[in-house]
Amino acid sequence: MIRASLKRILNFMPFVIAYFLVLGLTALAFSILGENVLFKDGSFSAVKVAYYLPNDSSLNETGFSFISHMESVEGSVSFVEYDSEDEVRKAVEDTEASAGLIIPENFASGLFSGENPEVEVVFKSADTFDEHVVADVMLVLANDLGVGQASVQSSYILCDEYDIDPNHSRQIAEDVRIAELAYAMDRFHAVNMETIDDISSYSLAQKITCSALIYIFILSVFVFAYFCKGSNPAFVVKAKLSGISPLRLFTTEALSVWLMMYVVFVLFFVGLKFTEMDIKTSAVFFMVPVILLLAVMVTGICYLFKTPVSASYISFAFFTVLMYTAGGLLPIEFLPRFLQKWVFLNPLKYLIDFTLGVMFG
Amino acid sequence: MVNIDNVSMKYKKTVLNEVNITAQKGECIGLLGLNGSGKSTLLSAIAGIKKPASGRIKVEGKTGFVTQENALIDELNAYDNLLMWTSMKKDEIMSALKGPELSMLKVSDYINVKVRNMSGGMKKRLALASVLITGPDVLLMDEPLAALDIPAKNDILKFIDVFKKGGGIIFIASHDESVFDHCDKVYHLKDGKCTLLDKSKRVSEIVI
Repeated sequence: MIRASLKRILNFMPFVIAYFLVLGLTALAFSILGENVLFKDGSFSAVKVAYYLPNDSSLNETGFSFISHMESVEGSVSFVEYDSEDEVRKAVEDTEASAGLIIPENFASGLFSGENPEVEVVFKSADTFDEHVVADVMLVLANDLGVGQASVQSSYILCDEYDIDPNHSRQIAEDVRIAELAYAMDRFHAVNMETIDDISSYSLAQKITCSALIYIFILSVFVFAYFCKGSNPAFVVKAKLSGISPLRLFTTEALSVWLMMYVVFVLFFVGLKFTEMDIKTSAVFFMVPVILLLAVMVTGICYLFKTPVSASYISFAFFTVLMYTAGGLLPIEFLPRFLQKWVFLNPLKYLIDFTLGVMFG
Repeated sequence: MVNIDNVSMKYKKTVLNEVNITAQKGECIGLLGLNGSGKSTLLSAIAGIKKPASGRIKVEGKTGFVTQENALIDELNAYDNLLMWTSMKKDEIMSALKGPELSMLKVSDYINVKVRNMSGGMKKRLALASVLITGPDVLLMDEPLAALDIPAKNDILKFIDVFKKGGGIIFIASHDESVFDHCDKVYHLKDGKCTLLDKSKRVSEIVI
């Protein structure tokens, strides 16, 4: 039976490859289309934040560079610089940007004079997703710039206290700021993003890749329903009278499905290695149990329904809803708020999270 | 020997009601009835796939079941389909195909042809061979002549005679009158009841 099963896999493999190729390309097309619809400027980011940065200090630029390169922000928020405060306000007004950050003209110099100038955050009354992003941005900014302000002011006060030339305070502040930024950079997360999205450290492209992979694997019921024979009474009778128990038949077919899925994953892995996404090499090993789980699930679905057509249609309808509510088809932040609350009950969410960890660390 | 003793089976309604049939070695039993009359259910019960609600079925020897739908894997050739369900090696399979009953089915002629490229007759003969290769003493056949052309039908009918001569017992559920000429006894299933038919009457007269 094993030898014949291996031959079966070999003969069935072209159909499987064709299926994954067709669906994979369709998913890619949707992904590109979705990117153009959802994300402007080809930024592949969920949200765009406009900002104005006066040209009076490298301190400001360093601060922004720090924020935009944080793991919890990179890939999710696209910072776009505008030439004036008015342009930032207009961008937010026209909903071109979800939020605007305006650094006052005297921000850097004001720190040294003790004026303590404030950063302006501009946003319209936003939908759920925007609210979250704006809150994140404000927290990140407050954290970074607040630390910067405190250090600059401290050095200024110290210079004043000890009768040191105030011009020296600038250099002292610069040194302190670099040390603080280094410390902050090591923290990776300046704010606790978990209240919004546990997997915020992954880029949107990584999330979409993982969830699309799982979705396509689950929907492979469409092709594997023609492979699995456990729902066909004629085969069940034949197996039983040949001394093959239903469990053995299921195990053999689930392992066959796993092997075919795994070959597809390896091809996918090799393809991904040529992209900018940094997929971990260890994923080849750690994806084994994930694909085994999916193979058992797919085989089980194929066994539940009498015909391949009903198995395909019902699993498509069921898993599309499950995938959507797990935040797999669109980011969780795009879901209605009442659905966001219940995401933790969705088993696919944990499968996607685990896959993200395995594939992208 | 096969002894069906007062067997009743129910789904939502009674499908078989106190059925009694006895088949001796070398006998062919025909089961006649309209769709849903319980023919396939009775065969499944004899095969041990379904349990009767009451009564007892005693089968001496190994059972083989040729289902109405050919349980064949499309992407495999004839040889691999035979290999799929046995622990036999290639030499054993090839020599088994040369035996008196299996050689009649001429499966060796198309042993390397994939099922998806076979005709209906070839598929039916292969399905039969994949059951016979396990060496059954009792053969259950559900609509074995359905959708077959005349040469393929004749092959199956000839096989029935050879299997009987070899001491095997056959149960055949069919609508095809030509099958019953090869049966020693024909039973008519209607409303759960099973009655032995007078073979001199035409099937069409009885069923209508």
